[in-house]
Amino acid sequence: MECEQVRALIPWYVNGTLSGDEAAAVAEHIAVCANCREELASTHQLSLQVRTAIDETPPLPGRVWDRVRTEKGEVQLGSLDLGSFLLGLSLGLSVTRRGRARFTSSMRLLGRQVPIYSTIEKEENSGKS
Amino acid sequence: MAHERDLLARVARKDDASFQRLYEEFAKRVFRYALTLLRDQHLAEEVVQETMITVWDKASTYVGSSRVSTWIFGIARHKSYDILKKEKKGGRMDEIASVIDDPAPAIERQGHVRTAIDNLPPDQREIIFLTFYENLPYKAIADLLDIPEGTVKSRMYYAKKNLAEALS
Ligand SMILES: [Zn+2]
Repeated sequence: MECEQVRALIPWYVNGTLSGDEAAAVAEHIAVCANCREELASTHQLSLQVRTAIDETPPLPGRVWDRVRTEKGEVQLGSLDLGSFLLGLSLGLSVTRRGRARFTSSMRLLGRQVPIYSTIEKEENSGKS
Repeated sequence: MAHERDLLARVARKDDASFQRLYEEFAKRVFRYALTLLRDQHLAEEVVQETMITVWDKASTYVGSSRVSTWIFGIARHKSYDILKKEKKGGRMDEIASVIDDPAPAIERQGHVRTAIDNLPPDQREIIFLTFYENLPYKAIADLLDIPEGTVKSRMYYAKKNLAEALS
């Protein structure tokens, strides 16, 4: 294999996803080519830097799961009945800037998943849920 | 991978607990992918939400010819571009016109490597993410992005070159 072909494959040699044949060809070349060895070392270093940098990005807020769980319809709006109101749940509605109503949280009530609306959850409110 | 397929099969049968496990497995990864593409926390959250809802609704349409992760990332990718289009149409152009192409917004506390990644053109930072963070084979990336394998390799070549310059 030529240097150019080897270099094109090095990123995936580093991430361990080349086919057996390709990986063997790269390994064989690298054993005898100092330039490509250097390229391998720097690519490996880069991959570590990328992983660390991306791992440091902000965590996914828990509120997203609340929204997904409610939106996928564990309970439909229509299943809220008078009983829920009698139990004193406070209701509200969150409307995103894209105009879709979203529930902000939910609880088990009489064996059913029931959304509890907070009065208003602004989209820019980044409070933890 | 077999484990992920089993999980998705149970999600297709509307098993809530399996869906929660699938969410735990993928939501954060989808979030990071969307964040890499869009560089906006709130839009990335929206992508996660819409992607996972689509996974719930469409799990039964997964045919098993690709990895589960590639299938989910494919959905996330479409959602990212959909959201971007809608945001642009919705008159929030000024605010987010720059989301994809312009230099990364200066986020304090952000490390120099992250800044260097964010400053790459979108197609290059996507390749970097999928290769070094998600450890996808170049063939899977070519499928996901619907581009030739040679294009995956050449994008990587330029991405590495740009990163090396930025980090030197
Ligand atoms: Zn060489």
